[in-house]
Amino acid sequence: MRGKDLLDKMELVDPAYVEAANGAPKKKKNIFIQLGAVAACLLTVVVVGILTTGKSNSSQVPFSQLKRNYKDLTVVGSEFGVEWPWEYKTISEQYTRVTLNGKEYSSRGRSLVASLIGDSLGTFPVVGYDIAKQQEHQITTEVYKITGVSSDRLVAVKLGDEYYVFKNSEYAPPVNFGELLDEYSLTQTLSLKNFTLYENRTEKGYFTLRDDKYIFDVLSTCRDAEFIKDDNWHVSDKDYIVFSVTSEALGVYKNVFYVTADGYIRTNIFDYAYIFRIGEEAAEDIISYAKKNGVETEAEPYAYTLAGTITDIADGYIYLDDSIMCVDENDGMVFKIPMDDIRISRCIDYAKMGVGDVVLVYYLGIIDVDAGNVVVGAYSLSIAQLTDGGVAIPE
Amino acid sequence: MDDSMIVELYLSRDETAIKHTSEKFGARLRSLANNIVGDLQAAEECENDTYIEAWNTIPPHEPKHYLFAFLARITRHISLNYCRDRRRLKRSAFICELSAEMEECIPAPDDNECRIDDMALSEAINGFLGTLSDEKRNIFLRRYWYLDSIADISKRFNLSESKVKTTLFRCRNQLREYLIKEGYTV
Repeated sequence: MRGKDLLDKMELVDPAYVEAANGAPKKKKNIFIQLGAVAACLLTVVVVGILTTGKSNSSQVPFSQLKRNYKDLTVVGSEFGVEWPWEYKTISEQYTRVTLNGKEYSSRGRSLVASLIGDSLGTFPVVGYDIAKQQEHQITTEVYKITGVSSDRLVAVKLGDEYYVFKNSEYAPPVNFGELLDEYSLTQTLSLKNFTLYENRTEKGYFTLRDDKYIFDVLSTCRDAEFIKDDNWHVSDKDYIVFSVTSEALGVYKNVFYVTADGYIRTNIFDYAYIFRIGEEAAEDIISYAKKNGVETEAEPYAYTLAGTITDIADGYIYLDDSIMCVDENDGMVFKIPMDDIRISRCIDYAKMGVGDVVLVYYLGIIDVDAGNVVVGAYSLSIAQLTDGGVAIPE
Repeated sequence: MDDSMIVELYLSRDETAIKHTSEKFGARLRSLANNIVGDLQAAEECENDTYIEAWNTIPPHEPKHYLFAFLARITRHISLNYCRDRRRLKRSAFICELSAEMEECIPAPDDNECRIDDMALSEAINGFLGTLSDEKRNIFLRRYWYLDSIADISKRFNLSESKVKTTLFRCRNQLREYLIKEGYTV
């Protein structure tokens, strides 16, 4: 069976589900209470092991360097796919579409640093939609080129004090790989260093390359590789590597870039599947180089998380005690989560999380020890469930 | 008019059934077809073919309690075939993309025909959908049943596009795991 067959067979879905999916999405007044009832289905599972390593002298340290001795628990957090009211959204969540020269661009939800901002393209209206009130909002702001990237593809929109990547929504794949290389300056905007190796359909580990120049050298010889539209294409039975791709300039976070031994590359960086046939020889060059030079390392989680109980909300911080996670509860440590980010404060103000709740914090993996264990870059909270049997039982 | 009354008109071979169907569901069916074929004229063709198919299949079917879903299923089927028969349409690339995504749900994709009958496959798919929350299930169905774009789903559910993509990615993995765990060989 192939993907197109399964797509056809989706017609076997229960009519009740089909009808339900055609209705208006539910409004969520208190999303976390609602999610509680269906917690098991909306769960992100984060397995927390025992973390014990040495101390660092630096003020800001990776969490893994703190001396924590956690139980072997499974921490399950409700996903934060929350329909926040308009006033609880960040400006980048509010304003998501802009039209330039008749072409609509949509926000990729990612910010980029000022050093990547190129020439101004002018001032344009940027629109957002308040789904609760069925109301469109509009502001006028400056739009810029992104250095090295064709403004036909991506632009930077200034919202507040930051710049955000917006992508041309039109489906317009390049003719060949050379066009893609040029329009996005991939040699400058993309890093192909972190990859997972698959052989015989089995994951062989996660690796890091010190340098990806050779890979781009090989890819640069494949400029004529044609764009493939093929609904029968799939990751082959042959070996392949898949790079984890994060790029500020392109506005992508941990997307994928496959290189298959039978001579294809495939990526989802551009929202649609872009597939090119680069030939077995080029693919083999890349894969063998990666296998030879890749250093095996621990896989990075998609997101860093920290679990604990809210013990206080004061002085602009949420105080989080991780005793509940500790083998010896007397070893509990208190962490401070800054509330100056609306993505955190709305969890308290709107979602009504509070003292006594066990929560999962999503952050950048760094703790500022000297500042009193401040959790750096916290961007979301969710109600957590802890289980030690590896199975989450919903309420 | 009430759905069951419209179905009664079909059952009694009253041709006004089509008029009432068109009045009540025409816009939604046309919108669904347009979503798939990306061409209003073609969508109207698909809509009209849906009425013919409905006329030919009621009876024996009697979809009194799920008439829209019944009609929409026909529209979807006709529209997908329309796209595949006319591969020059820009939308055929979109269908290819959705097929590639669906393939990620299949434990061992191959060129053989489906190894289980529709009843077992229906049980498998619906069993999996039953494990999802309402929102995830609706997102999944908007993508793979209604064939919505990521941007449209994002707007509909007021989620970021990356959030929608992540949810779909997880759902696809979960479906594959579900099929493996439950022993379905598709």
